[in-house]
Amino acid sequence: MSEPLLVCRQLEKRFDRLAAVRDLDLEVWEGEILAVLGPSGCGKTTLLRLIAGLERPDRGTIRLRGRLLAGDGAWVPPERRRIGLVFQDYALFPHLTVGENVAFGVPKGVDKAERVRELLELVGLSGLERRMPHELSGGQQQRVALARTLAADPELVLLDEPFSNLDASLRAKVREDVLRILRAANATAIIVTHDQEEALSLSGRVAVMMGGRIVQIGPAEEVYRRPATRAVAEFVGEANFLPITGLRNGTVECELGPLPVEPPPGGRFDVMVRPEDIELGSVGVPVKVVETTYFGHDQLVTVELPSGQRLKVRTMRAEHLRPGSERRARVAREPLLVPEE
Amino acid sequence: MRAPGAALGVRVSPATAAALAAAALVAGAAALPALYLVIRALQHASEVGETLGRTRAAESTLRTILLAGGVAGTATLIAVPLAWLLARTDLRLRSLWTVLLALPLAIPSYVGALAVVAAFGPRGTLQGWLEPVGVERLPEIYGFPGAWLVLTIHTYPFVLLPVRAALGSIDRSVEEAARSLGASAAATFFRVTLPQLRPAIAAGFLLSALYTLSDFGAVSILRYDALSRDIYVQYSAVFDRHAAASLALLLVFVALVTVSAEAVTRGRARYHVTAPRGRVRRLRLGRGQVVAQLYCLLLASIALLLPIGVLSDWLLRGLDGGIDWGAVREAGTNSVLAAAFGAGVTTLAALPVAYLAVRHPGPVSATLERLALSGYALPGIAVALALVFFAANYLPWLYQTLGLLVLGYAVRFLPQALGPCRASLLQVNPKTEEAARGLGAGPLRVFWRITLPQLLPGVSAGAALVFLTAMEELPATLLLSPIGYETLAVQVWAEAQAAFYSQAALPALILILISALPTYLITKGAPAPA
Repeated sequence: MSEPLLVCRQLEKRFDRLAAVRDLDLEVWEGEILAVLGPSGCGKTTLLRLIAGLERPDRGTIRLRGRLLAGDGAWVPPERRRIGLVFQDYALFPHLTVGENVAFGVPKGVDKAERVRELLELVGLSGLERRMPHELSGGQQQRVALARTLAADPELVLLDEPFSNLDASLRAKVREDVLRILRAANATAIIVTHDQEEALSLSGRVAVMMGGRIVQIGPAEEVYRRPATRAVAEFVGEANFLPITGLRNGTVECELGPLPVEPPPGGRFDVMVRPEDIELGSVGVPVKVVETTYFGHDQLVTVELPSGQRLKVRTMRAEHLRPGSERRARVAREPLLVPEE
Repeated sequence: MRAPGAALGVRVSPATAAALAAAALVAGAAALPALYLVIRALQHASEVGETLGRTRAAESTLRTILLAGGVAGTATLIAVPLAWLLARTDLRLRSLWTVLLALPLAIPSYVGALAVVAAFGPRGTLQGWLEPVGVERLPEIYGFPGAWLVLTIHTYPFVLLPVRAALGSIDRSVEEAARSLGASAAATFFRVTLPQLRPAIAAGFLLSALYTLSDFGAVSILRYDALSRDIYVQYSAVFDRHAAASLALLLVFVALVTVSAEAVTRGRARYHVTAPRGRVRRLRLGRGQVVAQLYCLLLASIALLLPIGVLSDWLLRGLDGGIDWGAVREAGTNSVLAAAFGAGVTTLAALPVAYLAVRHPGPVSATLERLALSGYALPGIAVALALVFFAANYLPWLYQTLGLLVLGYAVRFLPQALGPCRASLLQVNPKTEEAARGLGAGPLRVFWRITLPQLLPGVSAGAALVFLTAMEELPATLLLSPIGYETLAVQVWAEAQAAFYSQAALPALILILISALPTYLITKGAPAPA
């Protein structure tokens, strides 16, 4: 493949000596939709603002299509970067109509009215040109913000927690809409979120950011199935960790029995098992049910191993497991080793 | 039978009925001046047109509008860049300038006018300095130039304060969005920031214009024939009561048009006024720092240094030549007495109106509150004149007593007292009163032991504000006080007209000190960008 669209190298940004972003490397390819996932305060919004040109990095470089935007003495102001940012609170211009908002960034030489019509159609808001922003619902404002950004014909679209201001019931629908619109516009996008389900469901690559760094980047299923660290494993989903008790040719021993995992090359590791990978039934290690939370489509069960360690198990069984009842547990899918911490 | 006040939509207790009666009385008193001017004009309808023609009212109105427009325009041109410097740049000594440059508000317009004539007038300081050099005459300061200068200096803070606050509260991400959509910093300011400031600028502009229309002190000392000066001349020199009343009604009309203009300028846009998010990034002024500092310094020199310097100079001369200390002491006592009574009565009058508005919101209480607030927009000279005529005709026992002056203050300053009363009442949880009732206390005991103690801090702050404002009130004091009852404000005004500057300097400086306090508090209270 050719050059990536965006390249960040050794990026660093400090606020009052506290590093919000440090030693960060990132590559984004043309046409992809990258999710940046991280807990609040991990520096993901700062990363977006650095890329957009709203903050100056203290160290490192940012390049778009090979052009140096920041670092090494270069500085391109935000208005000349062709990078669009969709703000968490949308930041629509309160004094302009929907149409005027969308027209704001339309490049010179382009028919404004035509472009506005085109984009409002794309986001499904045709006919609302003359409304004022406060007369729209949250989901509509979101789409106006997106249309406004796309109208400026950016090379890269950044979305900062785009769904966090919406009701939970609306979120899935708006998420689908946004993805559809971004794909229809052939946009390259970075979407920042703190919601792991959201990041995984965007179905592109996921970059997990912690402590100002990107700790793992890869396809959603890889990040979920093979987290690089224990912290990533815990952040992207629920996880059980079991100490290794022994190694035998091709298998790793732990309290849930021998498991078919390549032994680690060195260092100290734990076995990680996702709750949905444990099966409760008549085969395996005896466990006692401690607590259950019933969701209808499935239930989350806490069980206790003979050693006293507790495991979380997600099971689709219709039978409601009562606390105190006894079952046997076995690992139904390939587990993984993650570094002990 | 419907209970009294059933229109409030609740079963009305005796206490509420009493509050309703009191509030209606207060609202009636507040609405009285404007109403009386209208009724009077209707009674003498045939003469009004003729009177207005004879007094050349059209010309005075034009002059009034010209001055108001000129002052408000200049004030806006001065204040908007200043607000930007204070809110958005790394201007040095920001906090000092923020306080200092709001202080001109604290110099009553007639004191400013006194300072200007004492400095640049025919017998003023500058003339005294230049005479040995052979300068016989200075350019004329009386008329438009003087009135424009004094009122611009006095009213630019009306624009500065709301615009600075608005700049601090604009959502920064909206500006950042404009930048990332390709607008430069300057284009962002003009296309995104400035339009969002429009309501604040319009409000400040109109407040400045309204203040100028209503001003009596500066235009009378500087002899600019605006409506307010005409009214007083017709009343006190020509003794033409019809003419004075007709002109007053005209002035009220002009003021009301100005007030209603604000609603029109607001338009459809709704503005995000939240706490600003994100860190405030201040523009580095670089070499512009010097220019900005000079700008602030120049403004402070004209607005503060000049009046205080000139007045101090004349005070020192007066100390050599002899000041009538007795007169100043008497005027001071009179001022304090009238202002204290005024503050007390105004606050008591505000309480029932605020009580109804907070506890029984509805069309009736809203109407009463609006009526009580109506005095705010009315020029003081018109209110005072209406009350004089009304009292002379219908309340002879009140005419020429301190009581009439106190009533005038109450009508004028009711809006100032209403705000704090309302705010304090909102903070009293009605459940504490209900709890006290449940514990066996009667309504009076509940008010005395539970409600009043919780109200007191806020309400007394409101009363203090009214007291300080009443101290410096000129037109109502001039028209409504009993003959021979001279206050500090009247003294300054009279001595300034007689060009007896050394005698005017002391009461003028006292008044500046007195009004600096609430201005300082207002400045502190305005949300300041961190």
